Formats: sequence, C-alpha cells, structure tokens
Amino acid sequence: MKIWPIAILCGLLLPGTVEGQTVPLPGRFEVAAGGLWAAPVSMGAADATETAPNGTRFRLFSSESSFASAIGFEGRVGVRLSRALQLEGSASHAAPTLRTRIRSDAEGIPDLTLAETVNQWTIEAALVAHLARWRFGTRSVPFLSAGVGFLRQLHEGGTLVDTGRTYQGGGGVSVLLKRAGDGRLKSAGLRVGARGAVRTGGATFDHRVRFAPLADVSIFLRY
Amino acid sequence: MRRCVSVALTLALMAAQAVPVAAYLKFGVRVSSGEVTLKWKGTVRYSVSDSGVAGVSPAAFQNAAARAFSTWQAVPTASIAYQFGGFTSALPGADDGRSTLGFLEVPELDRVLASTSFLIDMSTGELLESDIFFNSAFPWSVAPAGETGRYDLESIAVHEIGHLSGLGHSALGESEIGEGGRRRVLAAEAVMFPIAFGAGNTSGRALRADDIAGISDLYPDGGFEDDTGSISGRVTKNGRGVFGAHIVAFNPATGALIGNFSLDTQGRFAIAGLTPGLHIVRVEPLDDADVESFFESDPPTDIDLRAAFYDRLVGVPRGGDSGAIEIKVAGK
Repeated sequence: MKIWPIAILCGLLLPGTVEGQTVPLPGRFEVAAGGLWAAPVSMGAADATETAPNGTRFRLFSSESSFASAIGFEGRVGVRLSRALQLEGSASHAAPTLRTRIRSDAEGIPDLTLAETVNQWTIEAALVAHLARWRFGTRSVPFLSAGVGFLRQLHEGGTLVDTGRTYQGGGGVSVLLKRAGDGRLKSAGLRVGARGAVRTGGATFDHRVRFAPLADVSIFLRY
Repeated sequence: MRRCVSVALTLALMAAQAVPVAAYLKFGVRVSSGEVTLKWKGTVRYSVSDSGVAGVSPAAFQNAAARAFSTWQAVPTASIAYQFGGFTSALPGADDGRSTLGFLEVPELDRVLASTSFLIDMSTGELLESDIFFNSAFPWSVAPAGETGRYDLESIAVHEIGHLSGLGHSALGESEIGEGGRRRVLAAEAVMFPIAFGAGNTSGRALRADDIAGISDLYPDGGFEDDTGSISGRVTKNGRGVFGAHIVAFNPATGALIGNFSLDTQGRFAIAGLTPGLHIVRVEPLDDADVESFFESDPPTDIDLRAAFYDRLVGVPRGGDSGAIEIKVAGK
C-alpha cells in the first residue's frame, strides 16, 4: 500500500515522458544542497480531566500544541533511471519550535505557552519524474515527486526521541543555469519545489496522521 | 523478638504514623538500617469475617472483596497477588497474624467509612498483617450498579486494598469545603484519593493511571521499569525546597494524570510509571484534603504556594528519567 503513490505517479507519467527524445537534464548523477521551509503544523489538543461524581469529566486544564514554521537545510543525491525518471535520496534537518498553550486551569493559573526546540531529521527516498513534455523555455523542466521517509525528533534535554514516517508527494521546477560541455560536470541549476508530507508517529498529542506542507529550493550539480 | 507496631489508615480521616519514602506515597518505616518501604513478600492471604450487615451477607461481602482484590491483581505491570483464605469468626483489628476484612460498628467515627491497619515488624519493615474494617454505622451495598443512599462496598474495598498493599493516599482530586466544614469532592482521578464519592457511586471500582503507576512502582513486573519512564526534580520557593507539594504529570498523548509529592525538605520528588513522551507538569499545594491524611506533622507540609506549571514540556524516555527539573513556585 505504501508503494501506491509512487506506482500511480509512474503510471500516469511514463506514457507522456518516454516520448521525449532528449534528456531533460543532462547528467546521470545529481548532488544538491539547499534550504527548506516547513509550514506550521498542529499537534493536537488534549484536556487534563478527572472523574466527577456523576461520571462526567472535570477539566483540570486544557492544552493545545503545534509546531511553528521552521527553516532547515537539505542535502540530496539522485541517479537517473531513464530519460524521465530519477531516484533520489535526501536528508534534511530543521529545528521547529513546539509550542503548547495551556489555558482554562481549574485553579486559576494564568494561561501560558510552553515552548521547546525540537531537532528534527528526515531521511527520504523519492522517485522524481521530469516532465519534459511540459517544459517551458529551454531551461525549465517541471517535475513531480513521491517518496517515503523516516523521521527522527530529538527533544530538548536530549532524553526523548520520537520517530515516525513520512509519505510525501509534490512537484516543482528545475531550472538549468549552466549546461556544461564534455567534462565530468554536465549541468548545474536551481530546483524549486513544494510538497505535502503525510506524517505518522513523531511528536503528536492525539495520534492523528498529520499533513505538513514543505517548500524547498536547492542548487544541483549533475555529472 | 520482633517489635511490632500497628498503624491505622482511614478513608475519610487518617491517623498516619507512616513515613513517606521516595516515589509515590508508599508507606515506610524507619528501621535500624534506614527507611524501608512497606510491602508484602509473596502472596497476600486474607480472610473475611463471617458476620454481615443489613443487605450484605458474608458471602456477598466476600464476593465484593474478591472483585476488589482482583482489580489490583489484574494490573499487568504489577506482581502482587492475593488469595482468599476462608471465612473467620475473628474481627478485623485483632493482631492475630491473619489479615481480616469485615464490618465493625464504630459510630463515633462518623466520617470514616473504612480503615486499614497494619502489623509491621519494626526490625525489618516486613508487613505481617493488615486488617480492613468497614464501618457498619454506614449503609452498605453490593448491588452490581450501586444503590442510592448506600455506599458501594467494592469501591471502598478497592481503596482500602490499595492501602493494604502499601499505597498511601493520592492527591489527584479536587474538593471544596461545604456546610459544616465537610469537604465535597468535585472530581478525582485516583481511587487512592482520600475522600470518597457519595453513597451510590461505583466509579471507585476502576483503577486510574495514578493507581496503576503506584502499585506497579511498588511491585514492578511485566516490563514496567523498562517500558515506562520518570520525571524527577525539586520544587522550590524563594530558593528553598518545598515539602509536601503535589506534582502532577499530564501526558497529552494518553490523557493520563499521574502525581506524587515533594517528599523531603529539599523539595525533591520523583514520578515513575510514565508513558514515554512529552508531559506537562503542574504543581499545587496539598489543599484538597486534610494534610494529615497524607503526611505526619514533621516536617511541616507547606501549603502556602500558588499552583503553577513547569515552564517547559518535559520529555520522558523509555526506561529512564527526564533529568532533574526545578519547579519554582511563589507563595500565596
């Protein structure tokens, strides 16, 4: 089941892309580095409650948590599988702030917000389809991607580690800035993308699957 | 020759001579080698008095008591076991080497539903006997769904068997002072809260996270120590330790509330049995029940403090401790 997003993507794209007669991005291997931006993500709400004599819940206080937006960095390597398809592996790090707002305390403690920085790493594998058919100009090639990843979050104090998985899909555009000659470096460029990551596990207060939008920009070199 | 001493604990009022020791309000005694936690060695064998009261036959009493014992024994992360040893003509309270549950008519204890007493070997701290009496001055019921106007024997037995097993009172509850100075319980999240819900209420039959953590801490089994973690630290006011503050850890992912107390004059505390993950830590004064039902008078319990939250989330690792935290509180 986890393979479906990739399989569907390939099924949709291959008929259109194999018609291209030229490789959209020269070079078989790619290395890239850049930055990413992660959108704010709710982590859920939970009330601390006790049992009232009539069986209802007596609220001691309420809490609601979310990750703030964060900027991080990402490194990536890729290998071209066909004219259109590329297999990529990436690693990223960001340090979002986890904020927990506490309110409505039964004994009148003023509302407050607790905050901690979470060091978050992801390792992902993705399949990227370059859509040469829909390229615009001679340098810009749109792409779609889908992948799976492993998430590791280290909380402040270093005593607690949360782990989880990510399933992400998205797209963007690769812009060729330099087309090299016969040397080892075949091309270089800029890639801008946006993707949505469905996250299971990791820091969560209600065990729901989370949708986390991400945007990234990177410089790539192809050999 | 063994020097033995009896200690009495009650549900509504408590004359405690017990000494709290680290992690949970477990009972302890001072012996020559230091403080020893009171606990049973091996299976706890108990008897039931063969005299009933109106509406509760000895057999019905025994069935309700057996269900209450089973509730504690069913905790998968605790190893304590109980065994019914038969009916007896003896009454609870006699130092006869037999742990007995039964009714006693004690009308002068007009706020005491039930009471647990211990016979302790003061040289080793070993529990030798524990009796529980249920005050027949109150109306009792063993009806499956409870009975209006009558106290649910099984619920009260669950609380007292917690004492019999070595647990002290939990402060996970809220109360307000009503007419005549009596406290009215607004809510509780531990069967070991010292004030019972009203007559007819049966919610005390089910253990809460705090009770499960307590009994598991006392008789750890089933991976309890490997699979759970703890939060430890100090509660301070103006730089000095606070004795008797109530600290509660809330896990938003599970909804579990588990509490403990700062148990020395340095204000040190430890809360064990926590599910790994992030916790919100809250501290409050011990003002929802009589202080005497938790601690003896020395050192004095400090209730002059404002409820407060620790200013960070606290990460609890699996099989480990959060690392010491300091919760600073202010006086009222």
